[in-house]
Formats: sequence, structure tokens, C-alpha cells
Amino acid sequence: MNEEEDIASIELYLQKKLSEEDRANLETRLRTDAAFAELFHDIRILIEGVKESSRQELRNDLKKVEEALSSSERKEGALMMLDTRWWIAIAASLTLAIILFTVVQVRHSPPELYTEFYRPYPNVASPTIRGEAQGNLAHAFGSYERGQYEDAAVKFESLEPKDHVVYFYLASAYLADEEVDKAIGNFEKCLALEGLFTVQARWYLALCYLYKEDTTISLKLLNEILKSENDYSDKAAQLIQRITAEK
Amino acid sequence: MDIKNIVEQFQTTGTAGLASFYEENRKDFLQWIKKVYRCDNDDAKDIYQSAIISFYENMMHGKLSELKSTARTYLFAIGRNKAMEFQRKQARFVPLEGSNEKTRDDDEVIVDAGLLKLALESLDKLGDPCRVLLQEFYFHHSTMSNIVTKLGYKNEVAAKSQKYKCLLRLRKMFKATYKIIQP
Repeated sequence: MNEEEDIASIELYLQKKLSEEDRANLETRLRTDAAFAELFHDIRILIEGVKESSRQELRNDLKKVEEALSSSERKEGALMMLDTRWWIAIAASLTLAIILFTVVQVRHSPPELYTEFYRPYPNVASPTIRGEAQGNLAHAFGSYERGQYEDAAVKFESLEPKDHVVYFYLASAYLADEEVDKAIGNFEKCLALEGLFTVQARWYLALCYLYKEDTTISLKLLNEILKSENDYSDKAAQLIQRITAEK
Repeated sequence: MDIKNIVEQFQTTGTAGLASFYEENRKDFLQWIKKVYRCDNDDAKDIYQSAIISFYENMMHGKLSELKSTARTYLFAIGRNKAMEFQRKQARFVPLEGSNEKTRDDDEVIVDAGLLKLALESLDKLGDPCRVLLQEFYFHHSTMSNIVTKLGYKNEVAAKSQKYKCLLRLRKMFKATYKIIQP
């Protein structure tokens, strides 16, 4: 057996994919062939090293995702605080107006609800694979992350073929740039392909239709989100309640 | 989405798909782990990230084909084990809670910490594209066909040959460093 074949059999042994007979033969060889035993020992450590290095990179990627999500939550929290103070001021004014014999009713139109619930989706994607195509994708995500949504949209549009993830971020870039019709078209393409951004795509598509004052489609999409356990269920339930109350 | 679809998505979208999975389960997981295991926000996030990494590894290594529960339930079961491990290290309170799902990795390879550190340093010196190729094969369990597409090799034979050369170069660097510290 040459060295490449030896390495292949060591890999299969470590993955527990050898037949019982081949496993027994390899174990015998480990006891009798010192050079093979040394190769086995080295390959075992090196493979574990490759895996550990990958885990560390993955952990760094997840920390970036966590930071993006936490940052988005902090901004949302700050804006909600601002909204809360604003509404306290409005409520105080209204109370005064009522006391002064004026009754004012505040209603929120669908576009106003859109403004209240919309936040640009954070960049949680960080492509790690090298290569020409991945370079263009990385540039598109870079523009998106810097809030250069028009530029990001141009870059995402130039990518071929587009997949579920690209359609999602293209749509998100258009939405952030207030090109709602283009956002709708691309969120629908994203949903047609099915994937890991399906829930997010449904949420933002619901917001798009809210912007366009089509509460019927918006409610339909929000109710779809409630059919499974996910991180958007609470927001969807809240928005459904608000839309229904404003009708 | 079933496990098979999740695997396919992760293989094609890479960390973008994993990031979406991370986001979808994050809020509920963090709330649960902080409540049950009484850990702070930072520890909860560390445990969650460890759970996600283990989930990804087990899934890409084909260990979830016999899974009876949903991906989410399995993730939480891994999280339970990670939290208990964490608590053991901290010697804190550990709630009496069992798991019917096998989540611990019986195939876990125990390697000397010093040698592992040497391997990591050698891999760092090796650099790209070898490092990426080896990671694709050994960690992400990409098929040779996917590796050809992602990394731009001529064909599967060329990719396989390059993988073998990269591994031998890595071994050479590892042994050279090992000899320096172990004369």
C-alpha cells in the first residue's frame, strides 16, 4: 500500500467506516509496523487540528452574528424607548386636550405600522469560501453591512445564478432603499426557492404589503409565520393584533 | 424543514444558512438556558454558540439520520449537555434533568492539548488554499464534487490529489516543529 492509500484507510478507520476485517488488519498493522503507527498518530492529530481550527473560525463567525443581532436589538430598544417617550408626550397632550373639551383619536395607517415595525435586517452572513464568485458576494455583503443599500442591490443583482440567500439580501437591500416593489419581487423569488431565510422573508414581505396598504396579504403572511415555532412569532402576533385593531 | 433539507441548505449556503438557523432559535434558547441553568447573558451566549457548533458538526457528519425529534429539539438537547458541562466546570447547581436523545459524541477524539496546539500552529503556517481545502473535507464534509465547484479545481481527481499533497505538507511542518521542541 502506498502512503496515499494508507492515509485513505486511516481516514476511513477514524470515521468507523472500515469493515470489521479491514479494521482488524489495520489494528494489527498498528502493532507491527512502526512507520505506519507514526503516520496514524500524526494524521489523527492533524485531522483533529483541522477540525478544531474550523470550530474556532465558526465560533468567530457566530460571535459576529451575535454582535449583529445584539446591536440590532439595542437599536430597536432605544427606538422603542424614544417611541415610548414620544407617546407619553402625546398622551399627556391628549389628556390635556380632553380636559379642555377636545377629543382626539390617534389611529395608525398601515404605512405607519410599517414604519413602527420595520428595521433593516442585519448582515448575519459572512461567506468564508475563497474564489472569484465568492469575492463578488463578499463585496455585496460588505456594502449591505455599511448601509450602502443601493450599491448592495446593484452588486447582488449582478450575481448569477441567484440562490435563496442572495434573493433574500437583494430584497432586503431594495426594501432598505425603499424600492418596495422590487423588494416584493425578490422576497417572492426567495420564498419560491425555500430555505433557511423563509421565515425572515415572510416577515419582510408582510411588511412590504403593509407599506402598500394591502393588509389582507400582509395578514395572510403573518399568520403563516405563526404556524411554526420561530423567533418572529411574537412580532407577527403583535403586528396582527395591531393591524386588526386599526381596521 | 426536515434535517435533510437543513443539511442541503448548509452545504450550499455555508455560514449564511447557519446564521439564519442561529437567529431563528436564539431568543427561546437563551431565555430557557438562563432560566433553568441560572447563567448570565454572556455565559448563555457561549453555551448557545457551542451547541450550534456541535449541532452543525453532528449534522454534517451524518450523525442525525436516525434523529427522531425535530432539529430544534435536538439543538436544545445538545444545549442541555453543554450547560451541564459548563456548570460542572463552574461547580454550580446542576438541575436534575435527563435527556433521551443521544447527543454526546462517543466518537470524540481525545488528543494531547500540546500536540493539538502544534497542529493548529502548523495549519496556520500552511495557509490558504490548503487550509481551506482540508477544512472543507474534514470539518464541513463537503464532497469532492462540491469542493471542485467551490474552490475551482479542474476535476475531482485534481482536488483529491491536492488534498493529499496539502496533508503531507502539513505533516512535514508539524513534524519539523515537533522535533524542535522534542529533541
